[in-house]
Amino acid sequence: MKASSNSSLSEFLRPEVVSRLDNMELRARLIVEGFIAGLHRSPYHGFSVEFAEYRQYNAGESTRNVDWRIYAKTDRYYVKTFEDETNLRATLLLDKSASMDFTTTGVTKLRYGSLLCAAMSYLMIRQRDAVGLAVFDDKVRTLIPHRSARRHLLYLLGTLERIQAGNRTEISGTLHEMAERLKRRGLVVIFSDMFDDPDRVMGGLKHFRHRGHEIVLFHILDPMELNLDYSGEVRFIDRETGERLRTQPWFLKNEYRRDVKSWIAKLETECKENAINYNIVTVDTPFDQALVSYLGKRSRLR
Amino acid sequence: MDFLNPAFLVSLAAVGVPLIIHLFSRRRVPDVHFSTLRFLKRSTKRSMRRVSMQRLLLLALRCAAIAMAALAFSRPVVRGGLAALFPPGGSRAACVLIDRSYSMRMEGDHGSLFERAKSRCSDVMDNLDGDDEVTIVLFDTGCETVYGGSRLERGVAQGTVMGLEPSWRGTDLRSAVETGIAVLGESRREVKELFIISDFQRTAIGGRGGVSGDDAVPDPTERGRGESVGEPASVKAFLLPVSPAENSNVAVESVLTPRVALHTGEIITIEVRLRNTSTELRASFPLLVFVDGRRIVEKGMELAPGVASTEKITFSAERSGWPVGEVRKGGDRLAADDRRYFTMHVTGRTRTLLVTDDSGFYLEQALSPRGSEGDIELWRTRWAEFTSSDLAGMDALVLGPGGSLQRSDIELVERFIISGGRVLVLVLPEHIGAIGGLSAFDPDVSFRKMQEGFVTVRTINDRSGVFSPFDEDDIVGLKELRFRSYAVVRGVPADAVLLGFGTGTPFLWRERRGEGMVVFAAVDPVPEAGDLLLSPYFLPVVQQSLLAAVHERQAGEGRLVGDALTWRGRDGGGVLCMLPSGSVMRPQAQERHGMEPGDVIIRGVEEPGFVTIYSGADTLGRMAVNPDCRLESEIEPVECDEAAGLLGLDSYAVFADGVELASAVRQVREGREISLPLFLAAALILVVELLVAQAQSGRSPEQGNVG
Repeated sequence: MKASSNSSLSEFLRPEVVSRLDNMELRARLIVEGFIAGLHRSPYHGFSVEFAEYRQYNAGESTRNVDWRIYAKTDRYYVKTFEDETNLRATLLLDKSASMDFTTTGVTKLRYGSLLCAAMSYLMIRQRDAVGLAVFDDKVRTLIPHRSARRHLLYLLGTLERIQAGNRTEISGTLHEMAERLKRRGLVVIFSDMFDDPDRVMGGLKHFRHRGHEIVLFHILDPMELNLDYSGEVRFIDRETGERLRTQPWFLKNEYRRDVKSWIAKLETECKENAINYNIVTVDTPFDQALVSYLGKRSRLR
Repeated sequence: MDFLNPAFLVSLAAVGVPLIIHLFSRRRVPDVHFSTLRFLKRSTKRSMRRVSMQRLLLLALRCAAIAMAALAFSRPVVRGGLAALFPPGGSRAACVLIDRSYSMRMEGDHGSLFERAKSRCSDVMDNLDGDDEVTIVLFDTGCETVYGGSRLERGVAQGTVMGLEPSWRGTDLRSAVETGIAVLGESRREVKELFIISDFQRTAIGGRGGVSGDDAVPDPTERGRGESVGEPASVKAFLLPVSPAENSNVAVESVLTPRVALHTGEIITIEVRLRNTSTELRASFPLLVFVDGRRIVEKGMELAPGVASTEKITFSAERSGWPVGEVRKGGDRLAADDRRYFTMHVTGRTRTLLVTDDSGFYLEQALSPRGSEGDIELWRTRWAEFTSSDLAGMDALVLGPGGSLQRSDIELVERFIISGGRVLVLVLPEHIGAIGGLSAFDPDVSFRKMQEGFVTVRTINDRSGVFSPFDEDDIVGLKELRFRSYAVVRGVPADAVLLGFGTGTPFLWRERRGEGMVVFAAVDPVPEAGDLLLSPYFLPVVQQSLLAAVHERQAGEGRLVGDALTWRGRDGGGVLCMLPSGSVMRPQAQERHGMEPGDVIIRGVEEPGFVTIYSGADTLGRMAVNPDCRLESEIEPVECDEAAGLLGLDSYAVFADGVELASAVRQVREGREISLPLFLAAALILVVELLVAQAQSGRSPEQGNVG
């Protein structure tokens, strides 16, 4: 019974379903609450400094939060719960270059990235984290400073709603620029297809690491970019450069896949070496699966 | 390499189709707006050369497959060393078709075409083995197997062929080929060869040569053109033409004699139709007409190419009976249609007895307006004086007003009719008893007088030819006669009625009884003014009704060699007929549609001339029989390739006259058709091509961002 309920929730978290909703806040809430309900955890209480209430201790729980004074008086174990309050500063970096406007599934990478961005903003601001947003292509086009107020969430979601694809990608430069701008340590979440020179991109990421930031990288790709599953003869036009190439993809797809695979492997390896959380997602990946990696990083930071 | 269907080589042009598709598809490549070409450029550099090679290879495979299929349809035959790669055929069955139609009587440089055809047949047999199953079929409009055995006995077969004679019939080459193929179809031999020896006249392909009606002349080039004769793949046809030395020919196509009653001393006009069938040569020739062996016309004639001319020849009928005539023209290479026979029935004056109690003036005027000069020699008696003995020596009897036949007289008159006499009965109240006795239909007769208005003649049945001498104005005039009182006759079948009132009842009808005839005329019973009887229309009606020979159509055209001839006279038990060949036969009495009791059928007249019908020492009639030259005289041989096309023959070879048959036949037999291996190769290539294409298939670019 539980399994079927989970599976129906996952259906609602499919990108093509979510993207059909009108309101960005609604989309973000659907992703987050659907995702959390899927994890079977209460989203409403965390562990922080502001007292909220007592509850009975359950066997197996950590004894760190047991209120020993109550125990002394009542001979019963009670656990103190607190209002959640962090000083986490999360910066969301969303690539809006022209290459992000590509789709073969109906949901562009840019759309997918903005939905993921919106979901994270929603989740973080609910937990009183301060969220900032930077949207870039060859340079930073939109920069929203960190806030944790609910009003700020609406501003973020409105900005994400209005994003249009831009020009060529210049990830490394943007990363260096943003690394310089962010003075306080925090969490940096990057949504991009990473179509830039891998060494230069890694340079930018390392710059963040050097300044003490934790990095989560969502490498968003379209399935077709992985497989090149075209038949017959095709003329490809580069979305960013306008360059044209006439070829027979069916013939070179094996070689293409091999090249893409090694590119991804290189990114993944170097991210691992630099303690960067690397997540490759395709635009047909349900949002709950994508958010799992963020959750891991969030709990590590706590 | 030869091709059995060289026309299909045109389909080699289809090789251009994949080339065009190749070029076309290069122009219509879909655009895909892809996110980045970073990886594609790297891969493309390495792969495009291989792609180009593979594309060219695929194109070459497609072109090769189409070329092979096109070649296979053209049925190529290889010879020499290449032929040894393919297995030879097994035992053989052969059918030799020899054209014996009368166009084969045409004289060539070395005898007639038919003699040449026999010679070519001998050559064919020289190229067959003793073990071969051989059938020899003669054909014109029909087919006759003259030799058929499981094995070739060369001496017997050669002897049979040497004894063959051409016929006088037309040609139906299509039926002959169908027969030959059917003969071969029954054989179990592996190799089947059909030899066709003919002059391949255009008129022979697809049409029946012998047709008897002017309107029935078919256009044989249209009928069945290109229709396959159902030639099975295993039958090879060999066309052996025997060609006429020249295509010029002038034919006496027809001789038309008058259809009206002819009398001795009259001037008779016959129409002779001649036609120059050549499309190029002008013809000059003498024309001669003989009647009873006496030359009555000799004149020189000239005909432009393709022109038909009708000559009117007049002469005097000097004797009664069945004079015989013949039209001849100067000879050309086809003598068979230079002579045409004709005959006609000439009678003396018709002795007619008129029995009437009134003055008989009008009837006398109607029957014999020219008195002693006319065709009718009129005798007259009153009813009170009439006895059956008065009929002695009479040819005809007219029952006029004022009296009637006694019962005993009716029997005598009936006997008079059956023995050849003719009787005209005016349908008057006093003759009702005679009408009942003389008519086989036992009609119901009543009389009606109209107070107002009138009736007119509406129905004219000229099947009998009685009215053929009348022109359109005569018929209109006949229809304008007005009757205020008339006889209403019921019970007479429509086909016996010659003229009918607008009311639907007959005005004039006749019945044949034995050799004679009785005519009933429902004239106005109150001939107040006598205008009817004096009318210029009634006169010939009565005369023709009486005088038109019982054998109306015996004298004209329409008797063709091979036709079943119909003689209308007394029953077949008492007559004999002498055929043109001189043989005497007893004709068959036969009932069939359109025939009447007493009609007989004469079959087996296979040469032109006269058929004489006689009883004892009396000549009852005579018919002229001629070949049908409307088709056979058209000397227009077609090329053998065209003939094969018209006949729908797929697998054939032509051995022209003069070619040494032995080496030509050997060359054809050594050949091996390689259609099947080519088809298989084409199919194999297509399979390979499909596999490669399948390997290329993947996601369609239309599913991506296609610009």
